[in-house]
Amino acid sequence: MSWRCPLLPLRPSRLLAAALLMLLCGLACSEDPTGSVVSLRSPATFLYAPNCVIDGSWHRFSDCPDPDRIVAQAFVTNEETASLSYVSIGTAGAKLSDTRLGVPGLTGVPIGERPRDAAATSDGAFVLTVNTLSSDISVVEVAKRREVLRVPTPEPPVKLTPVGDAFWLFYPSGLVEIRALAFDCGAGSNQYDENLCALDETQIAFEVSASFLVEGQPKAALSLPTNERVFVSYTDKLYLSVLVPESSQETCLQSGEMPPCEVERLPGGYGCSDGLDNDGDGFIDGEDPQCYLRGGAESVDGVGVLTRGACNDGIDNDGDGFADAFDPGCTSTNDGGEEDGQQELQLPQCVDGIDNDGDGLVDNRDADCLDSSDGSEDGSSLLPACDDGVDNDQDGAIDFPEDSGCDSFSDDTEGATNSCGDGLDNDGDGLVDLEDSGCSDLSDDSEGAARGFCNDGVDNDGDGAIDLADDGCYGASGMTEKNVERSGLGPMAVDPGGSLYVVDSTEWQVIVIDLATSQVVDAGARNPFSTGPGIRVNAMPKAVAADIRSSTIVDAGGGVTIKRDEAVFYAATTAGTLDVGSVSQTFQRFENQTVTDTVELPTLKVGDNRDSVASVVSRRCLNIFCDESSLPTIELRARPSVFVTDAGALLTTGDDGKPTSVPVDELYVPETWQLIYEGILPNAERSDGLFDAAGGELRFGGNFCSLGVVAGDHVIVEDSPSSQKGLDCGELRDKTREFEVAQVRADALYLQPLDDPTTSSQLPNRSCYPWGTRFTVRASKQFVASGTETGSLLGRSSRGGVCSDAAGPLGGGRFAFDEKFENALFKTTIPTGSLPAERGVGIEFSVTSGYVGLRLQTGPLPGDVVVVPTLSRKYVFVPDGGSNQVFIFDAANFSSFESL
Amino acid sequence: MNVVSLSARATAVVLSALLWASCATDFPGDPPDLDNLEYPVGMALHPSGDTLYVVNANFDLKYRPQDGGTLSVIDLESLTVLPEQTRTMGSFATTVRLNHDASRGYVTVRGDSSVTWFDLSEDGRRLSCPLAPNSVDLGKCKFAVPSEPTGLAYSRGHRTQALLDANGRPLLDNDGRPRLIEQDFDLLAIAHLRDGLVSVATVGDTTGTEKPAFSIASATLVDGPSDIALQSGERFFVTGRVASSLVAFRPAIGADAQVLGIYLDAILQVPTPFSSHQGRSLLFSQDKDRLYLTNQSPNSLLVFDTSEGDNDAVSGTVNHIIDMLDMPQGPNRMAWVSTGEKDLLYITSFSDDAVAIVDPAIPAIVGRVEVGEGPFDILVDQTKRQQAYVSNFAEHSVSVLDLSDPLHPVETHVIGGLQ
Repeated sequence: MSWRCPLLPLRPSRLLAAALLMLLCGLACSEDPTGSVVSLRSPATFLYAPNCVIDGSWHRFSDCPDPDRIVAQAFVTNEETASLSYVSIGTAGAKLSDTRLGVPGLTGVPIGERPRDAAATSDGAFVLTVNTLSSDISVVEVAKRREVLRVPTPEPPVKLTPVGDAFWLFYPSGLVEIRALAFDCGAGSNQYDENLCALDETQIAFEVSASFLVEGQPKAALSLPTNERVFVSYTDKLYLSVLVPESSQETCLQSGEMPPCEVERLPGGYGCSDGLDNDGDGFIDGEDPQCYLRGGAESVDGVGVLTRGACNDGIDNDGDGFADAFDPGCTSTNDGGEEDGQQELQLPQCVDGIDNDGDGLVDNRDADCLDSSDGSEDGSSLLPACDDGVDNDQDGAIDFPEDSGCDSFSDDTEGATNSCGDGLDNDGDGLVDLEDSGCSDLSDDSEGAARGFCNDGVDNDGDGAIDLADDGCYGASGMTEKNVERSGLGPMAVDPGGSLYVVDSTEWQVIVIDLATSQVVDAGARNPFSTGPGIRVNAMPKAVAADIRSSTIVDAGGGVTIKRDEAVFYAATTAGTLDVGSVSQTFQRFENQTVTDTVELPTLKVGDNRDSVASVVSRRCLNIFCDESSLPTIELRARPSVFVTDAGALLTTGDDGKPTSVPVDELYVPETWQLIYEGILPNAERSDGLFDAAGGELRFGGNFCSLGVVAGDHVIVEDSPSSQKGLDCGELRDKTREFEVAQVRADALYLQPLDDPTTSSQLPNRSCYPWGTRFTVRASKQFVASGTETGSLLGRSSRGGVCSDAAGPLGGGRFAFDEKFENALFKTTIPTGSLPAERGVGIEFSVTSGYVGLRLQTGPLPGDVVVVPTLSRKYVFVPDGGSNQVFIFDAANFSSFESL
Repeated sequence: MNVVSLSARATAVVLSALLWASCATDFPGDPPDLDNLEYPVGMALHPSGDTLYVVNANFDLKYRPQDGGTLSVIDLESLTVLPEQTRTMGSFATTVRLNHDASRGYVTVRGDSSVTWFDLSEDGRRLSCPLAPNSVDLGKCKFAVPSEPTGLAYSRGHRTQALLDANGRPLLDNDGRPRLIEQDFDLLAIAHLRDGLVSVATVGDTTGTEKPAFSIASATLVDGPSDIALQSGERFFVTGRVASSLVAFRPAIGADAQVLGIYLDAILQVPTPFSSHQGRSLLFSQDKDRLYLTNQSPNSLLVFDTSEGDNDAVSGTVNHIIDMLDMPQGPNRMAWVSTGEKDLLYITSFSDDAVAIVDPAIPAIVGRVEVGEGPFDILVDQTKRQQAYVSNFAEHSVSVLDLSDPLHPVETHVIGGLQ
């Protein structure tokens, strides 16, 4: 084996050092040195290989008969020192092993540069490392603690996965090589005997036996223990590939190919953004007529929200105490009812797959469809400037045909064609021409916000595709042609129960895929704050491991025991935590070894570390004195749970026979809620209102849909009008300035006078308010709910300037007396007479969370996480490149051991 | 009050006045060496590919503080410093940027809290302060800015202002069109190491010896601002040395090209178990959808998704960290190098005396080249010379790398070196 002396550039500063080093090298290069590799430096990968050390000698695991003397062996790749460290795992922790007898403290075997991934032969005799900088593979003979072979690769490899006796090597280009290690050291082909073997480079090879290409850029790979399937994630795809070895009888995705090849693709996210044609209609993601958002589903049985329905509306529709995904009656997000079994989902016209208005355009292809809750394909959701009832160019004439600047109702420009270069404030927002963010340049025809990018006949993002031909467009009402170049998925793990876990570093989640159904388990449906279908973990996950934690939780005597199997994952994050995710729990009751009862409980969250529950801790009236008896009950949302009695019975209901309420998850945060009658909408107490010249049109520097304003709400103009002589602002000065909202657009409210002689019948205009005004928006005859942390529940989305009618996944944020108010967090009813129907009166209550995520402290740059089952206990190892440590935890109780 | 003390104070005041008078025309200490590079930091490359500008920091205050820093001009044909073109300026300068047509340059100078500017000849060989064209020192050409400017990003701005009459109505020309004033200006975003300050300045175009119009506004955005990057137009990102987040901001600039203020656009959290990270430099991908940040606590490369989308919470602008790569010690500044098939990131590793080559698509370190001691800045020329230039702070030199094989660059020359 050769060893290179370091090459030094010939610069003056290094001549002396070079001379000295060359002298040393001359001495050192005369034999195989191991260098000064001590301790861990940028540890990246932790590899547990099935071997052991007995009294200092290496043995196959199968040859380790005496458990008391076994010290299991593992390995760590060190990126910075290009070395492989040996780790001895004992009964109470682990320690680094010296790699060379007679050189205490030397804990690394020199290998290729920037080693990242590693894998071992099935007998544990060799460890192979993937070296990205030197673009090669190191083969380390474990017993001899030396690199025995270095194999160059065609490009820097990213992943090495053992599949049976072979190794699958993945490259950034999509190349997959299948290689096998071949050697003979006297004991027979590929028979390793540490006493016989004295291998040199000529006696061992790591040759390619087969290769093929996958379409993406591989990021990680994982082989099932059966070696029948290999899962691959990509840096540029949101799906996973399923590859099979040569022995497989399955049919390749690409016709004409034979195994080894890709046979299936698994979704790795919501149906409308996973890169797959989930419903088999020939359309993928945004091309699919049912996809309006990347968080949507392509069909009723897809992952994501197809349209608002009983199982995704934040409401307990069947009154059983559970709502949406927590209701056992909801089989999926798009189940049409909370009753048992799949109910038919009522599909609005814009998501029903039918050309309802006969214009040849279906669902999101039809520009008249605003979103998946839009009930009519007939009726434009995008209002052109010449059909919007607004004097857009402030010339006194409104729309076609009154405004001579309009050629038709569909004309989107009322006035001069270069409104960004005319020195006028055409859209009445107080900003002129290029001051106005709506203007891109002087030739821009409109000062207003750009809209309808997916329906304007223009290649807005310059990629050569226009409107619906652009795969960035999610429907004709989409607001961008630009395709979000989301990063793909990362490392994976599989648990013995058949779930696959995939790291999504972009959305900071771990996605759970049920391998029995090949579908994503929509954990996001249990959390309306979630933006993904996975289990949200700390920022930013880098690695994952999975396990089944089994324990006997009750021994009631008389042969009655209850055992709990919990599917868990461990996600190592750069926030310096190892998040312990709980996916499902299976409780089994045994009587004399016989199972008498089984209850399964999906959990789908990062585990709880406190064993406490959320609760309402205080209630009081606002702006009125009241006694507690007049306060309504606030009921937090229930979660299914399992109770075990001392007698060893499994229960799924409480003592009262009703479902047990145990809301312990991150949905609840400590906060205070206010329910105020005719309250001010959250964030709708503003000082930036601006009226149009004609009067009655109110704009501000934001989106009225986001504020949750609806027609019927009241706007109170807080400032008095200008006192400048000659202005006709009399009523505005002398009467109450309160108006009703007649129409809401994202960028404007259209006001009308109230039917109340004490209020102004004169609508405010620019002349009376030349510098703008303060204003507030209040609900009318309704309570408004808002939380100090959750904020508003009122916000609605908008497209093309039009507000969506659909409530968000949290449910609504306003209600009337006697109306049952419920959302994804709590429910209540305020009876008539319990509080006076006076503006500003309401109730306030506080909620505690009780939830503390089960997160173990690690370091900032985790490279891996591995569960190691030894005879004495199960460990979890986390190498961390940021702190140069390997953190060690006991998987049974999460206590930590001294790190490496 | 003590009489003796009063007398001593009076004497001190007189002596101070005399000393000030003498210092006003004759700085104490040695003038800087114009022939050599000393503690080189930031660099800029003329678009012709023939001239390199190197900021020398006077880091050890070996020379007099007021004008001990220099801006060296290097002829890339002969790979030699042109001492006759070297200009002096304040100490602790860090970053130099050229404007859109390389007619002007800007240097952040921490020693005198200024942005020092200079004009360049068309061929880039002559560098001068137009307000004192014959002076070796650029001291006349500087804008006072808040304390300790360090990072600097450049953009080109434009505003159109309508001429108005006394009633505020647009003045029209004979064709009935509004009379407009077009204004182009240089837009600078400046990171200040102290007080968490970020500034945005506009600098008007000038000719001859006219002093350019200058306006500036500052805001506290992030702890220990260290570097700024332009995403597009007028949107910038800033990182800090003791920051817990990355911040996107944009200036409010009036129709008269005056900076009115700074708007905070987005805060991108950087997850860390520590109280802060140590951001060093920022670089956008070519399509601006990814932002790369070098971090020295821990030594790493952070990747942020800055792509734009629609207003869907799921699919909209992600604006958060999506990857993190373990790096050699002291990752500092970055530059893109194209292989023809892909773009590679070259990242100086200050404590590793090397440049790490990262394939951001994997991401992984796929190459490494040793350079001088304490590599700081890096510039790439793949237009004319297929070379990269690395300023070696601790070795007082600039390494020249041959990029014929971008995965395996070779150090072919070293300009300057230890004194």
